[in-house]
Amino acid sequence: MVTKPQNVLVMRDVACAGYVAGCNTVFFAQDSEDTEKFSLNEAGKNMMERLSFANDVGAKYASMLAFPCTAQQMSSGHLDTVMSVTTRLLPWEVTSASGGDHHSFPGGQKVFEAYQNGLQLRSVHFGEDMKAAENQDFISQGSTNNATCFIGPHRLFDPFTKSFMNLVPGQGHFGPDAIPGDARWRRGESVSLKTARETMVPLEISQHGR
Amino acid sequence: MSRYGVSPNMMIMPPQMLLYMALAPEAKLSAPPFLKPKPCSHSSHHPSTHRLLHCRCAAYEKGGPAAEARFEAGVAGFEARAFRGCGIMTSEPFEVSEDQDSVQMLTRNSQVGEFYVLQPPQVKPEAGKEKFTCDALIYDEESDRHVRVTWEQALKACCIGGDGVSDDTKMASPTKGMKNQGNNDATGKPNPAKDDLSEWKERASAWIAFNNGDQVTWGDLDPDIRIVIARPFIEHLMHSVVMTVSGRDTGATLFGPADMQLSANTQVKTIEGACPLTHATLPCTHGLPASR
Repeated sequence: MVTKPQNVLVMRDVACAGYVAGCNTVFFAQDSEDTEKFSLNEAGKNMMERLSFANDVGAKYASMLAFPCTAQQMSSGHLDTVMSVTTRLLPWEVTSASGGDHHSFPGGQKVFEAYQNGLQLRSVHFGEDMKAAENQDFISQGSTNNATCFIGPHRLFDPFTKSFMNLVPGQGHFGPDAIPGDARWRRGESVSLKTARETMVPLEISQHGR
Repeated sequence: MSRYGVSPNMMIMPPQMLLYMALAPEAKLSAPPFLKPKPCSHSSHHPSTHRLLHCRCAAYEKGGPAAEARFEAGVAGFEARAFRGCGIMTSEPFEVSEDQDSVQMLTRNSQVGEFYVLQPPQVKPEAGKEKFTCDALIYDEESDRHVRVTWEQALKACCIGGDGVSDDTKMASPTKGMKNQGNNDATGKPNPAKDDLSEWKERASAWIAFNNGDQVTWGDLDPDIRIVIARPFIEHLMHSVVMTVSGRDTGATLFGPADMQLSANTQVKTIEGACPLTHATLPCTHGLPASR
């Protein structure tokens, strides 16, 4: 039993030990049979299946949601680096005792309400150990689902570069870039990020990625 | 910890991390694995040990005798020595039952989230090179490669209209073009400003036609339309590490005599057990006696 807590530091989540789910490029709204078909009902259903691992842990689950947005919202400062996709607000969005508005949600508060009803975003946090979450405890009863998204690394069309693609660097947990080879260290192999990347892609790209 | 003037001297980590800590970082061996094997001057090397010996040679070449010693010592060497002044202890997993995974207290599931912003080209592409200009390349961890996510797919996944979200929902920050709908038209009549999702969708759909190479006037397209793709539930198993001060200064629980007695209660068909246990948490700063 620890009687002097300041002597103990739990360095949380410092090394990846294995991939579970949620990082593929399939939309929740995509029909599993007809991939050209998209619907909001399907999105809500697939999201709940993913979060409860309804089809066993190793099954294929979707990962992505899409929302309408504008350049004006991106440059307004509300949605530049971070957003919340569920009913939980970002710390600076909590402006009153009764809550606040989802300024960071693509399209704003009204669009959030529309998607919340369609996707049942509130239920993402059902069954969580609220006490453990509020106290930021290391051990909690059951899992906690994420609500906060940081901008991640992706490549967009750019007519001025040689490859016609330009990296938008990530500002989230996994660093500024994600390139082939990263799956090795992310699934817990005893390999460094540098080595994992250099066995998969040319050294120049790997260098660029770092 | 430095805020409290504490200098840790022990790290507790999952055993799976030891191999990584001992050998994976470049600095440990300074032998980049991408180095091409050079012709070996050691003619005595047997082919089966050739690769291993080369690794050792490279380690020696870059890191000197210390690197080779670290390579030879492996995990055991890492455990035996201190890591930056901290002794290394492992937290071994314990078995729960035959049909359940063992429990590792320092490993847990953890989720993170990312979002990506798709945007149409801000500069008109050359004629005939309009295709794919609104798409994005996103990393897919399951297949370990970049995957092209098209504008059309993303727009469909927004599920606006029909049985999706209502297309008369107002947007908080409409584009300049959407706001300018309110200006007077050529005849002097005011156009109604349209800041709902139906207008947004119409403008976003125009980019699909542009991407397909259809005849679309560049000036009619709205370059301020964006689509946000979110991946909120990226889940991994993650190791954690405890850094602490060893010994009684942090706290200790001493266990004394314990006993376990079982008895069967035939009337209610139950087996009852009693386990008296003596333990004391030290240092006992609150004047509490040892509990029983």
